[in-house]
Formats: sequence, C-alpha cells, structure tokens
Amino acid sequence: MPRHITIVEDEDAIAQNYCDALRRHGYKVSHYRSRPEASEAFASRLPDLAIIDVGLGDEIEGGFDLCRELRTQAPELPIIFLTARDSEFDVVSGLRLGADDYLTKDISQVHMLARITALFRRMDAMQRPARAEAEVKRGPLTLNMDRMNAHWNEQLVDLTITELWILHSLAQHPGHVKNRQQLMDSANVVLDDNTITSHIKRLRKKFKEIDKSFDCIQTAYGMGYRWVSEGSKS
Amino acid sequence: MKLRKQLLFLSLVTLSLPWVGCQYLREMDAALRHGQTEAMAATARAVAARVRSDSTLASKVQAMDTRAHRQFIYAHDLDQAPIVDGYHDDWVSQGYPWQPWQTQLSAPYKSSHKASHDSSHEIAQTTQAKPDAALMAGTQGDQLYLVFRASQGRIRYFNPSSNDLNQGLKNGLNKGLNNVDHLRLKLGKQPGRYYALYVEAPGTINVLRIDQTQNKHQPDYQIKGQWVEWKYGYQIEFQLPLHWTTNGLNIEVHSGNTNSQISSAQSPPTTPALTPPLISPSKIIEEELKIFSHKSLTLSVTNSSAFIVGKSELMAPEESTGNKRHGLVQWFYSIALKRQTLPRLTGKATQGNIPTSEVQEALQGGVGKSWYRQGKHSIARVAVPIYAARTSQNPTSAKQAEAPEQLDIIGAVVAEQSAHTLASLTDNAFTQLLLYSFLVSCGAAFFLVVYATWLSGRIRRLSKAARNAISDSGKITENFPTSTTDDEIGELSRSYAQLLARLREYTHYLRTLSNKLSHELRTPLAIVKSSLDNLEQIKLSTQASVYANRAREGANRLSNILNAMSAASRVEQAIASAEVELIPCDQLLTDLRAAYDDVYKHVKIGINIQAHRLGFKLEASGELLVQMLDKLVDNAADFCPDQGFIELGLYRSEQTIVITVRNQGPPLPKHMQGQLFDSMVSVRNPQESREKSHHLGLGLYIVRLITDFHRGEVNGYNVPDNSGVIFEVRLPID
Repeated sequence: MPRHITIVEDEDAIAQNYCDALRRHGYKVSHYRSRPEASEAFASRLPDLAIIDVGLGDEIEGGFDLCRELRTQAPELPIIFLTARDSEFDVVSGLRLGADDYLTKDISQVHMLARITALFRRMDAMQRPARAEAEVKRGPLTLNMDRMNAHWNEQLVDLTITELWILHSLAQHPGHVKNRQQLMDSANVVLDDNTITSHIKRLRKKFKEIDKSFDCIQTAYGMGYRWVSEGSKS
Repeated sequence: MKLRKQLLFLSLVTLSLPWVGCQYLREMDAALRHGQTEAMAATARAVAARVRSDSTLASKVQAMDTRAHRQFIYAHDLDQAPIVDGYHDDWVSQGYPWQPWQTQLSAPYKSSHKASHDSSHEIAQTTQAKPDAALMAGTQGDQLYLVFRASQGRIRYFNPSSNDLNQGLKNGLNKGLNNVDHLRLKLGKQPGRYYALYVEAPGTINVLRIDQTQNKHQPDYQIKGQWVEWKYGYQIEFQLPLHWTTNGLNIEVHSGNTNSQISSAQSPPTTPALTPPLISPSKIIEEELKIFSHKSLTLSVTNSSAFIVGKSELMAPEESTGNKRHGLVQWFYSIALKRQTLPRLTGKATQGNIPTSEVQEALQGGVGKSWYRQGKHSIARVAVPIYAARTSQNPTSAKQAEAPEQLDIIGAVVAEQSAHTLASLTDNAFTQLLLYSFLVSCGAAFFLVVYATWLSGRIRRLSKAARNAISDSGKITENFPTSTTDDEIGELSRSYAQLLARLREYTHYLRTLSNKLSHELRTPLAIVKSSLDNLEQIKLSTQASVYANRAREGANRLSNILNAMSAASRVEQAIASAEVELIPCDQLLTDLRAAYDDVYKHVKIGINIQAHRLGFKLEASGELLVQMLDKLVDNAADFCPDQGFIELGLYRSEQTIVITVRNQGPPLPKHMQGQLFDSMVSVRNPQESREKSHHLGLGLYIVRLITDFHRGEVNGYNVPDNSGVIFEVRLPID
C-alpha cells in the first residue's frame, strides 16, 4: 500500500509539481489549498506525512496553526514545513511547533525526496529493533542512521533530519574539518552559510540541554566545523 | 549676518520715534503760538473796541494824530528823569531814537520813518535832506525834557560886552540876539511870544522870554538846560514845564551867522494849527490799558503813524534761571524744532515810533502778527487797528466817517507777550521726548535682541537637530525633537520631523526591500525549479534538454541572487541572536588566512600581526567576525589584480584591536567614500570588477552591521600612493 502524503499549499503550480514528482515515486498524494480544507480532511483520515506551507492564502501563519492541530492529533506524524520564508525566526518557530524539518521552496526535488525517504525510514526504524552496524558510536554519542536518531549518554537527543545528517557528517570522521558545502551536501540541502551556522548553533544547544559540558563541535574559522571526541580533546 | 544682528539693526527704526515726536512738537508749538497770538489779538481787539467806544480815549488818540501836522515832537514817557547835562548818552542808553527836526518850515513836512531809525551821524550827513536838526523828547512827572541838536558851522555865542540885550530890544525886536546862535521855543496859542535859549559859552543856558508884540523881554528860570558842542554844531539838553506845551511846541534855530533872521523872517506867520504838537503817551490811555494788561502782556496804543500814545507798564522780562542750557544743546533744540531765527527787537522798535510790519498792517486795517526775539526769549506782537467812532466830533475823521465802510483808522493796539513760557514748555516736552524715545529705543533694542536670541536659539537647536538627525553611519534618529510651539519655526520642526519619519520609513523599506523581494521571488522561483525538476523526469529531445538545462542554470543563478539578497537580513538576525565569547583574534586571523589561501587562488594572501604584550583576546562573536572578514577579503579579492597581494593586518593600540585588509588594485572613488558601507550601494565599475555577475553592494553593509554590533567602526581609504585600498576595522576591548 503506497504511503499517503498530504501537501497543503495555496500555490497551485508548486503543489501540482510536487504532487507529480511524489506520485512518480509511488506515493499517494492529496493536495489541499487552505487550512480549513486540510483540517477537515485530517479529521477523517490522517496521512503518513504532511508537507505544509506556512502562509496559506490569507492566513499568514496558517501553516503553523495547522501543524499545531496536527501535532495534537498525531504526535508521531512527520511534518515538513515548506515555505518561501527563510528567516531564522520562522525556522525556529516552525521547528518548535514539532515539525520534523523546515525547507525553503527552492529546494530541489531530489533533496526533498531524500528527506521524505529519510523520514519514512525513521518511522519504520522505530518499529524495528536497532541494527548495530548502522550505529556510529563516538564516546557518549550514539548515532543510528537507520532509525534516524541520536543518543548522548543513552539519552535521546531530539534532532531534525537536517541536523541529524549534519551531526552524522561531522561525527563520522572526528577531527576532520567539514566545510559548509560538505555539510550542506550531506544534509541534502541548499542553504547559505548562515543557515548552516544556525543549524550548528541549534545542534550545540540541543546537546547542551542534556549535557552542560558538551563541547564536541568546534569551529574552524573560515573553514568549517569538526567533531572533537571527548578523548582526543586537548 | 546673524539674525540677532539683523534685528539689532532693525531696532534702529525706533530712532525714528524722536523724529515723529519732533514733528508733533512742531505742530504743537505752532498751534500754541497760534493760540497765543489769537488770544493776544482778542485782547487787543477788546482794547481797540474800548478805545473806540470811549469818546475820551478816542479823542485822546485822535488828538495825537500826527498826519495833519507837518512836524511834531514825540515825547517819550521816561522812567526816570535824565540828567540835564547837555549830553545824550543817558537817552541813548535807554534806547530812545533821535527824531529828525526841520527848522525851516517852508518845505512841506515829509515823514521819513527811515530817517527816524537812523543814527544821529547819518542825520548830520544828510544835511541836504529837509531835517537839519534832531531831537529827543521825554516827559517825567510834570517836566518835559528835550535834547536838541543843531548843525552849525561856527557857533557864535552871546557876548555880553558886544551884545546888549536891552540895547537890542530898544532898537527894535531882539536885536541883541540877532547875531547870536540860539534856539527859539514857541509855544502854541501864544503868538508873538517865544523863549530864546542862548549861552555865552558852552554850559548852563540862559533863557529870555521875549514878547514881540509888546517888545518886552525878561529872563525865565523855569527852563533849565545845558549847552554843549558836538562835531557839527551844538546840542542843548533842557527841561521845561510840561503844561506849557499842551498846545504844541515849535523849536526854531536862529543862526547868528546870517545877517537876517532866517527862521523867523522866512517862516510864515505861525498859526496855532501849525505849531508842532507834542505827542506823548497819555496817562489816561495807560490807565485804561492797565485794566487789560496783565503780568506778561504788554499793551500799547499807537496813533495812526505808529507812535505809541499809551502803553501799559512794561514788565521786567522774567529771568529764566531753570533753563540754562549749553549753546550747542540750544542749537540742537532749535534745529530739531525748526525754530526760525526771529528778528531781534531792539530798543528802537519798542520806544516811541514802532512802524514794524505788523503795526503797519494794523494801520492798513488788518491784524498784524509778528514774532521777535528779545534777548533769549521770543516775543509775539499782535497789532489791531482802532477805528474812529462814527459819531466822531473830530472834523478830520468826520469826513471819512461819512463812508461807513471806510472808517478812519485812528491808531492801533499793539499787544506784546513773551513766549517764554511757551518756549520752555516746548523745550521741556522736547527733553522728555528725547528721554522717552531714547528709553524706548533702548528697550526696543533690548527686547529685539532678546527675542532674536531666543529665535535664533530655536533655529539653531532645530538646525542642530536636523544636522544630527542623520548620523554619520546614515542612521536616521528616532527622537527628533518636535516643537509644540504654534509658529512657523514650530511648524518647520514638525514638518522636519514628518519628513524624517517619511525618510525613515523609506530607508526602512529600502533596507527590507531585498529581504521582501527575495521572499516574494522565491515562490515563482520554486514554481520554475519544481517544473524543471519534473521536466527532467520526462524524456526530452536533445534540443529541448539543452533549453531545459539553460533554464535550470538561470533559475540557479536567480536562486543565488535571492540568497545573497536575504543575506543581509539573515546577518541582522544572526546579530540579534549572536553570543559573544573570548576570541583570540590572532588565532582566528591565522586560521582564516589558511582558508582564504585555498579559496582565492589568483592572489597571494599575507598576514601581518604586530605582537602586543596584552594579546589579542576580544569579547566577540567569532562567527560574525569570520563573516565580516569573509566579506572584506572577498571584496578585496574582487578588486585585486591577478597575482596581486592581499594583506591581513592585526595590531593593537591599548584598548582597540585593529584589523586591516589591504589589497592592491584601483583606488576608491572619492565621492562614494561616505556611502561605501550603506546597503545596496556598490562603487564597483563593472569593468574593474572581476566578477561579471551580480553585485548588490551588500557585502560591506554586512561588514558595517557586524562592526556596529561590536561597537567598532570600519573605514575604507586609499593607500597614499593610490596603489590599493585599505579597509580598517577598529574594535574596542571592554
């Protein structure tokens, strides 16, 4: 049975393009143009994944409201924000509402599909026992790219897909400096430098919430970032 | 010129106040003078009416009409008896003029007013004219005093040895005195009698009363006098009882030179009518005038020939003690008040005959008014005519009385008043005016200066606020002080504030424009991109895929542009959420140099760190500093020629860390230096720029944002020899 993806988007052309692309990849896609329309549909049946535009018609933040509604209905449902807005503030508020990822509209279809696949994989992995070979262990950090989750000192760190991929790219080769382009490529995203910076910043913050002494992600000025294992720290 | 000075000059306008005041004072002065003369004229008219209605007075005045007589003697009313010494100095000192006297009555009498004003010497010189003698007469008490001056070549005195009076009389008539120079006084209504005044030598005169009809003579002692000689003849001063002369007095000069008696022989028989009358100020008229005159007003009545026949007592002119002024001040006053210089009223014009213009006018039937100066005071003189009563008994005027319209003018009333009080009044007013207008001018100047100071202060505040409204960095201040005053300056400040608010909105709009634009363009770009993505999934002809690829390239470029455009706003956001930490700047710079070496292959990048004992630790956001240097180096690399040199510099001056980026390349254009760091400003010349693609001028704007965040400053200037450009970032250490 094909997975069901819902696109809530007021711009018909974009929505149709995405619908076509997703259908080509064997997903079942439904498209809603406004928040009430989508809410009504969600009430009767929940999709497997929701791609929501922030601005919906006249409702500038209709997407956020819809996300909030949806999150209460289904805490585990993957939600992706797809929007023209790319300000830090919007990203933060979107993610705070429980979205799994936040994409700007100029993202390429390839990248978007990669994310969707990754999200579905994480959902699937939750129901399966963890495979050891897919795990990356760096000191207190445990990364399971199958399940798409990360643990620090056996404690789950709640990361978005983008963050997870960035973290994975850094932690895979500790000590190696990854420049921004490399991080972007591994995260399947076309972002500018600042967005990478803010992603790194958020990553650090999330780890620090668990462990105040976290200092494994270091800045190599002008080049990028590197993972410094606890043991190799000077 | 500053506003204050302008208004100070403007205040000089108040100096016109004294001028206006002067005009007013002049008017007032003229009005007062007019009023005074009117009042005087009224008084004079009343006197004239009184004289006319009172037959006694009228006849008195008429009796003294001299027009009917060829010659007459005018006797002044003397204040005090002159010393009868033969000399006339005491007369002259009182201002009495000589009265011409014609000893030979054969020629018709011709009144010559001019002659009466002339000095005695002139009379002597004009011997060819009819008067050949001169006299001065005056009354004091019951005595008549006379000074008589006769011209005589060689004076023959009475010689008692050769001239026997008794012998002469016996021989008929007064042969004894025939060849002796002497005066003969003939009193009216006493025909055939006369008094002979003679001397043996200059000194006391002898008087002989001679009755021709009875051929008698006897010495007389009631006439006393002195005989002196003068240059052209002799002069006798004598006195006689006044009542003798009631019917007139004739004075004849008997010259002892000629054999015959010139005067008596040639003169026709003396008739009473032809006896020269004695005209003298009348007591009765004086008494009458006293009623009308008062302290400062002097009234006189003249006869028809302008001889005073009655005068109220002359008041001694008031001595003004209070108004003693410097001559210069007085001159200034008279200039300011435009006082004409009045003709002086000398003694001659006040004594006896006063044929001045106003009196003449009165005698013609008009009302004459004149102003004179006497000493320091001005004097108003008003004259009105006295008409003869219609029922006049006088036969001379009775003829004219027949024509009722043409009443005979028998004389004039002259009123004189000193304008001293008036003048002092005007002067006082003028002084007050000067004082007040000076005070007002000073006050006005003061207030205008205060006002101008206040006004220019406000304007200066406004212009200062306007100057500071836009800071050097191009920021528009939020708190422009708006005035609440309801005037033009307040309005200006309000409209200025409004203008700034608009400008602020506009700059804000410009600043956010790139952000908004990128946001708005992202959606259509997404449509293009997703469409192209879908297109890839469809089998396209080779030609179509070429176009699809081109479209994708274009879309990607557009996407980059949009990212660059929103970069500034993202930096702003980054700044808002930036966290500062202790950054070792030397470490950072060294790291960055290594990184840039890889990125910019076409240039050499050097580093120059001047070691400092305090090190280069700075409380800053490393991310932002890196971004700032990224932009600066990127900018430098763009302008740097191939194989050029870029140098990163770092040094410290006490509390400031200075980071410099120097590159070789074209200098900055001068005119743009102030705006280099503004948003959307690019000084790049497309030919100079290596990067042929877009350049939005956001790079240096981001640099400025970051330096601002670190409370530092950034400057760009040319290397002195114009071989390159240096950007210098100064960051303070807390």
